[in-house]
Amino acid sequence: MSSADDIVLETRGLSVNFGGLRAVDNVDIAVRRGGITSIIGPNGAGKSTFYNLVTGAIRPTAGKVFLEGREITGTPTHKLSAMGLSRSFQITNLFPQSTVFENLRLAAHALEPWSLSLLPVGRAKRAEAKAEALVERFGLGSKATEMAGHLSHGEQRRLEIAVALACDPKILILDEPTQGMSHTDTEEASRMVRDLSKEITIVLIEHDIDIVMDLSHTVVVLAQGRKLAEGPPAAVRANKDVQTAYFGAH
Amino acid sequence: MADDGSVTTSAPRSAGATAAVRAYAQERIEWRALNIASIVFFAGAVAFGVAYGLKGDTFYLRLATEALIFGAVALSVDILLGFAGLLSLGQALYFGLGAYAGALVLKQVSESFWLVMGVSILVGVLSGLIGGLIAIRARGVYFALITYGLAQIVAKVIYNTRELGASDGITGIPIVNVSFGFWQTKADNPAGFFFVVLAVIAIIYLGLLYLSGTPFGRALSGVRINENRMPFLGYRPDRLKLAAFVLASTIASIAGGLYPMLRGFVSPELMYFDASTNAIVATMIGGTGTLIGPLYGSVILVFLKSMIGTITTHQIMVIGALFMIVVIFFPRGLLGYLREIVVARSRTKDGGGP
Repeated sequence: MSSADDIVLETRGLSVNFGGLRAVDNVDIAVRRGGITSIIGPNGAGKSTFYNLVTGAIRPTAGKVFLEGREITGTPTHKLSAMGLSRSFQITNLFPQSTVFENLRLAAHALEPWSLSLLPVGRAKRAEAKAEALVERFGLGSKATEMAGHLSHGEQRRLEIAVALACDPKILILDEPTQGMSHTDTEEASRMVRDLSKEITIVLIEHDIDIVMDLSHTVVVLAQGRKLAEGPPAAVRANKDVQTAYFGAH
Repeated sequence: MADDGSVTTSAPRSAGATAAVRAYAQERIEWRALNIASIVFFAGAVAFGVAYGLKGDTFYLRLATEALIFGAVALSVDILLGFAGLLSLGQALYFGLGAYAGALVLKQVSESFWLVMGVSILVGVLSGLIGGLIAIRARGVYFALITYGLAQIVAKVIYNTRELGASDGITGIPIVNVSFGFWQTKADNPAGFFFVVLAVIAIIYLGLLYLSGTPFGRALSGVRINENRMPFLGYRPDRLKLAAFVLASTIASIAGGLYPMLRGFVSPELMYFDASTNAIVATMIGGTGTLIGPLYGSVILVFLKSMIGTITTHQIMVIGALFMIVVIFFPRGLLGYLREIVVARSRTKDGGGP
């Protein structure tokens, strides 16, 4: 089982058709444990579709997805977080009318035993402690009782990641975590992602190629639904096909 | 909006208090106004019952009893709309089913208050499961239309069923003896039955208040606020919505079981669209998501209807106008508005502010 130990997330021949369009075409990707694997590609490359296939939001037409060697193709989304796969969203997807703390408590409580759901919230100490730790870790302590919808954009992006972390994932897929962030916030977020990657495996879906080059140990390039290249950042950058497809598209 | 996460102008933190402690403290402030309002409501109801009972009144006591019964239907709307964000246009269906079940039990099985309560709970759970499994497959306006359609279909079926009295409904329901062991009363004792209904409504209210503070209640709010994110956290919105639906239908059905004891008859009109909208109007007047609001709303609505009814037969126009005024000027309802004021006050008192 050594391969299953090394590979956390794997896709084999993953494909999906939307009407006549093959949005993702026969993509094989293996994400090694630890560090950051990035998936990049120009707009319309199929990044988001690929991502939705992996996280159960869309069913593939063909191909399979494996999480730590177990097939998860077609597994309902709500089961994946219990299996250790979590995702954040490109467009902030929080509970805006709930407090920051409640966002995290709700997320942290999801995997608690059913028996706790009919006791007062304060009795679920594990979820509470996890939410507390995340509030502090993401520097949102002073905002804990504010509505998530009232936070600044950068704070919301941080909360977005914190919420995705609340289920203690083994692998975290981040969809353009720095989307719309200011330069300082982007640097801060990059640092945070790098720190996280010491504890869990991270898959970074990015449009911004510069962020990816610094952070990741492996870069996968998608273009027109196909895998164009895969390898260490420098090698990928040097790849001719990538340069025409990706950099040419700029 | 500031795009800078590093500059924070936060409300002052009590020294050493953890995020959880501060969050719970704030939630208590948000419920404070509502809790006071609920104490006022139930204390006022008891005082009213005693005073009018001693006076030997019948009319107002029976009207108030009806207001409480319809208040429970409004509470069931509030679970769906205020908690889970589901607008049911057919909540009267479950009220009507409970009423018919209660009437049949009383006429043909046993004149037992407790048997009616048990049967109406069973009817509420079963019909809620069936209705819920059909309705929650759809979202938003389609959900609302399905609940509406279900209620119309069942009402029409009953309207056309001779065995259930067709358009006349079921009349001649015997007077129920309600016994709590230490105290007993009859359904034709206005004050006595008022207190029986008040006790049932109080239990339902307290149960829902408790649920709102449990992870289950919070998860329902999560479905209302952002259903799409819930599966990614590991929740099943469909299950949660079904649970809310069954809970709501059960409460409506319990209220229904009380109705034939009060009025001595049931008819298909109990399931009509009018009855469903009354519960929604009461909820919105009182304040969606406040729990006590719908009870206030129901009392206001029932008494207003009765008062206007003595002046004009066009009550519905006045109610419609009132509803529009509330929606335009107090979209969160009377109690929602009160809660906002109290929360805003506590913010300024703390010297902070959002």
